[in-house]
Amino acid sequence: MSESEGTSSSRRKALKALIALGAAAWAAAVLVPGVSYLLHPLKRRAGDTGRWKRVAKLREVPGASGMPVAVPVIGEQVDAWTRAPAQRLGTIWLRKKSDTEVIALQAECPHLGCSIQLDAEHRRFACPCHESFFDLEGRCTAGPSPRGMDPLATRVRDGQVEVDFKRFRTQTRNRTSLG
Amino acid sequence: MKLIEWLDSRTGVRKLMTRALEEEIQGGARWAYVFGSGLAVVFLTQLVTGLMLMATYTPSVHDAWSSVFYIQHRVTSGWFIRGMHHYGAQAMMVVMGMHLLQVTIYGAYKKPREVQWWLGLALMGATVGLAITGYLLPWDQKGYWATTVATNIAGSTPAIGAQVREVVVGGAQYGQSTLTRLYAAHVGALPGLIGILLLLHVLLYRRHGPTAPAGANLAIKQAYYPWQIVRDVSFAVFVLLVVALVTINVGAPLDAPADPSVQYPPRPEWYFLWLYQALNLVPGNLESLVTLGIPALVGGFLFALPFIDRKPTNRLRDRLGIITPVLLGACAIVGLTAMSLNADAHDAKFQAQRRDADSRAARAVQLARNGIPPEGPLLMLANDPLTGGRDTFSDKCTSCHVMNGHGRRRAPEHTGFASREWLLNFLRNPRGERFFAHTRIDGMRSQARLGEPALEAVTEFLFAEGREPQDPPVNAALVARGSHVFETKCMECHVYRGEGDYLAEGGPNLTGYASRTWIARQIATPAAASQYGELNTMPAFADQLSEAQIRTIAAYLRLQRFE
Ligand code: FES
Repeated sequence: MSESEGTSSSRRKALKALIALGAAAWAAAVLVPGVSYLLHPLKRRAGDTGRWKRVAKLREVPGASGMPVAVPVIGEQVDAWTRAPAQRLGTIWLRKKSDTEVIALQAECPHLGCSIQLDAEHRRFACPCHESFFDLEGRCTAGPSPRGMDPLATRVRDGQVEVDFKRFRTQTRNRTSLG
Repeated sequence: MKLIEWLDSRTGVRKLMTRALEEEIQGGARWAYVFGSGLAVVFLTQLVTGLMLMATYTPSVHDAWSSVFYIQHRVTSGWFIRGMHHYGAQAMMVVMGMHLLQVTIYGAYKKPREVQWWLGLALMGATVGLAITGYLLPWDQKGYWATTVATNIAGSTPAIGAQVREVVVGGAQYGQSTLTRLYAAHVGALPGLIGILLLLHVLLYRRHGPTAPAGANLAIKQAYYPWQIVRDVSFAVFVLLVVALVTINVGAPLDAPADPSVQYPPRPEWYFLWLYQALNLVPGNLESLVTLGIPALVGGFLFALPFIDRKPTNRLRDRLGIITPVLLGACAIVGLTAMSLNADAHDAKFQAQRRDADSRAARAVQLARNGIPPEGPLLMLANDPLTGGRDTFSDKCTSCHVMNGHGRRRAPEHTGFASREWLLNFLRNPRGERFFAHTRIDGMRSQARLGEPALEAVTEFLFAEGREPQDPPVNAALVARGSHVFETKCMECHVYRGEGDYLAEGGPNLTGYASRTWIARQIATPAAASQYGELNTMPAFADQLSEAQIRTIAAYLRLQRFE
């Protein structure tokens, strides 16, 4: 077999091209699916429908003049392959606006995501990480936070407060909800 | 180009590359030399796809199957990456066999290449190790049972067997330690070992070059690049193409989650079938002679080959004594594999068990699409009426109730239980073969005297009692008529909504008849006043089965109405 092969340079060139083609084929077959596999998290998933989570009884939420309370949000969590009922999804701050309306604020700081705490003495919220401060309505009064605390939609059903629980992208002026 | 200059001045990379590429092959480039580099390329592909799988796979007995499901059915291109890895592993076994055959036939193990040959044998061993350990990782039935068999074979080693097995398994029982240990071997120890052995193997190859066949014209010299490399690349691309085509057209299989309590017909992966078949051919007391003896014999023979065949010639005619056993061995492997496949194809029991296993696997995947509970896929299956419910039913109930042709007939048949057809026939002849014939319940007579239209109405009425909101609608007018007939004709003996059976010696309360609640009550406490009372002979399952189990059987039985 080898005898028949000349060493003419055009033939060499063709073979070299063939080799490059083969290497490219390998790379395409492995790397193209590989990249789309690794970038899977960027794919937008259809939002799950059961977003409203019961968080508290209406009569247990402090009135407009009182101090907000922190309550855990408990709900079903879909995490990769697992669907787990009754998981702690996050924390929110609750306070009544009127007898029938409730203000809910995400406790996750819009700066870098630390958990915002209540500074009852000064009637304000304070983030312990980099000292962002917010008034009781959630407006940012000082610190690095790019925006006020993130409000969540609420509704009252059968005397129970329900919250449309969401999480938001940190570090942006505008609010973009995640997932 | 400047960059390359700079790099070259610091590393001498150019000279290195030139040396590697321009090196000449005595006797010229050949297709026969492509297998080694083909193996290297497939191994590289396995490394890349394996690393990607590691980004999702979770080596926990509760999550392993689920994460593989997730790769296969959820993550973008996951099925392709996993398929390439799965069939790539099999391609490695095949190409390894070809490489071994080629090298043996060409006599490439001879002086001065003995060490290179031994490194190759060690590489083979490590690759087989990768195949065995990788098989378990999905923690599905197939891998679980194959590993059970494989580790028990290791356990039959004389003297140290029990210890070997426990070290591999990580204890006396299969479980988390087994999975974690074999995972560490699969993703760390074995690939690392292969990397080192491969490097040495290739270095020695470059030192000695390939062994030209006897009679080749050694005056012909060709550089690796491009003459040999173009052949190598073509072969590697061909192998990967085959792997990709099989991935696309067949796909990597995923059996049901590992469950030691479920009957399963274990088989090793096809490249070990020959050994499995050899095992079937010998009497039981000679088993370890086959399972350990054959691999030891083959390994020992190959190891000693450079000493056995010391003649400097590699002409085939002069080495028939060596080549013949090798070729016979290869033929035996092919023959035994074919025998095993043929035996299974004609084994009705195996086929039936395989079908069960396949439908269980399909069901598991179907359920997993809705999310898997944190406790894992086994709980998901146990709570599924069509899986756990059916399993418990055939375990506990078929000693008296016939279901789909299985079971003994000592109480009413449950195939199509409480379907319209079942109810109508029951009303026509309660003491018929399918119903109370073999029980001591003889108080209920045939209701045929009411006339067929009335029976149909009562059937619809009873059928409606077990209806759930998502079910197809019932015929309301017929139900109303049936309700009327029932009130006038049946309530002498049956309670309905707190009325009827005033002598309290009749049959069961029919409120919500054949609903899940009713069935669960019947299973748990069949002798309760609301059920068969003193007429009952069915055992109460309240303390034999958990509430969840009873609930699941009830759901399974309720589905019979749609059969
Ligand atoms: S995370 Fe809250 S201030 Fe930085």
